[in-house]
Amino acid sequence: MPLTHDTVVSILAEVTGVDEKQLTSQTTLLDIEMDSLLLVEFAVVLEERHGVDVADNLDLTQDSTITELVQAVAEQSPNAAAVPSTAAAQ
Amino acid sequence: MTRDVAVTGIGMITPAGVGANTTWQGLCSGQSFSSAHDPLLTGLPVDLSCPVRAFDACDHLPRRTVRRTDAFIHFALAAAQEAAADAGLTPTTADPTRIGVVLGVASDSFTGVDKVCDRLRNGEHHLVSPLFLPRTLPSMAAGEIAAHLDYRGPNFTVTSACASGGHAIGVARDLIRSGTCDIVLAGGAESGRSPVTAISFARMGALSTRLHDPSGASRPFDRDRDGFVLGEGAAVLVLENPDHARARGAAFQGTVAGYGASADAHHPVNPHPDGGGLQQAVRAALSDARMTPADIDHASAHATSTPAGDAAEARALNRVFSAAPPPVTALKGAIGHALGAAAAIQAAAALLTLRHQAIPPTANLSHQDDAVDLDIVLKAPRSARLHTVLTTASGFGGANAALILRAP
Repeated sequence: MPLTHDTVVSILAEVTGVDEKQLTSQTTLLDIEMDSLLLVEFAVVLEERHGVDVADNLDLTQDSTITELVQAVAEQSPNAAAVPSTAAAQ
Repeated sequence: MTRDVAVTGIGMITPAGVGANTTWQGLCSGQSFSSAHDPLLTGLPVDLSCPVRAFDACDHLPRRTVRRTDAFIHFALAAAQEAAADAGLTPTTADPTRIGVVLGVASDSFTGVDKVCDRLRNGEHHLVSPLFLPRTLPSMAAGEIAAHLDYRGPNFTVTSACASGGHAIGVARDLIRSGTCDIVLAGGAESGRSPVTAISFARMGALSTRLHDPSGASRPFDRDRDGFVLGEGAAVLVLENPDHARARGAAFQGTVAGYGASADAHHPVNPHPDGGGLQQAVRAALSDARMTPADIDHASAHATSTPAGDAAEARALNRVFSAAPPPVTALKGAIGHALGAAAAIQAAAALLTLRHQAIPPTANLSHQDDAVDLDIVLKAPRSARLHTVLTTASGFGGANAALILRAP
């Protein structure tokens, strides 16, 4: 299953329990209380479902935005699209 | 100063219902909530269970909490919230550092342990969820209650297998008596609906194998009983210093008047044949409450529906109440065995029994075992004038706990 911006956001919503609709590109990890445990859980789900191993390579802080998170994931994944699928379709 | 500790709030999530009132109605219906083919136990030789029904954790808790915690924590949090609301606790009710949480949980929840083991075997260490421990550890239920409700006093979990909830309430009561806390949320939480739990109890021969009659499988004190049915749930009481409760105008639901604990010192898992340790615990509770056996109006028995356990408990009650044992009920006929939560559910139900002045029936008791010489309430609730209820609990390891609840 190709890893798109939307799937990354969807996994993020699932892991944090935050409503996906409330996640914007400028939402920060702090906003959604993404602590270090949840970041590792996020990485486990990414690898389980998409074979993307980001565990030790995500250079992020609590102030990182979702856009930055998606970009960081994309850099680790050859088949990830770092732009929102809706934007890509336009 | 009174030695009794007030109960000012009750919360229950059980197979008989979500919430204390719904649970009470379910217990009084006389039906058993046991069923077959539990989807969590598919493929096991025994797939009977008493699940909590019509409970969506997201209706009670933040979604992020639900996502990272297991069922026993969901039940504990929901029951704690109900109890706190029932007691009228608000953020300004008491100094949060003087509100404790003490829960009884028998075991790790085991959820996802198979996956962790698979990952380990395959050397896939980076695929082990970092949430495995925080979602499964027994102590997490009490910790989550503290975090969600901001109770910053003593916070710990007692574990004595199927007596855990009884010991938790007893120890919590002592925290108030000693002056350490003004309020303690005390109870138990567990889900026995795990394949690891189910197969392990099945291999011990502890579970009912009455697969042809799932709703009749849990039958305490019945001559045809053949083991217990795994249940789940939580019950939480708000225990409070009576002076503190009066000062804030809180309604008393009852008091914890007596607590006794003991060890069989006999066998890892078999009860003492005469319930020797249980007798000792009941006598200790009576002494603690400054009561005699004649002061007890009703007993809610541990009675899990195992052949040896129920017989030993009946003998223990006969010994303690030599002249005339009070009417007895066994809730596990209706709701199965919620393990570490069971004794807390009994205590909460005992307080409802005092409120309603009625003893809920023992479901599935069709033919009372000839060896059980007790007056057991069956089929329908029995109205009675009740001032006190004794509840008993025994667990693997030989631990026993007895509580005496008194009407306000």
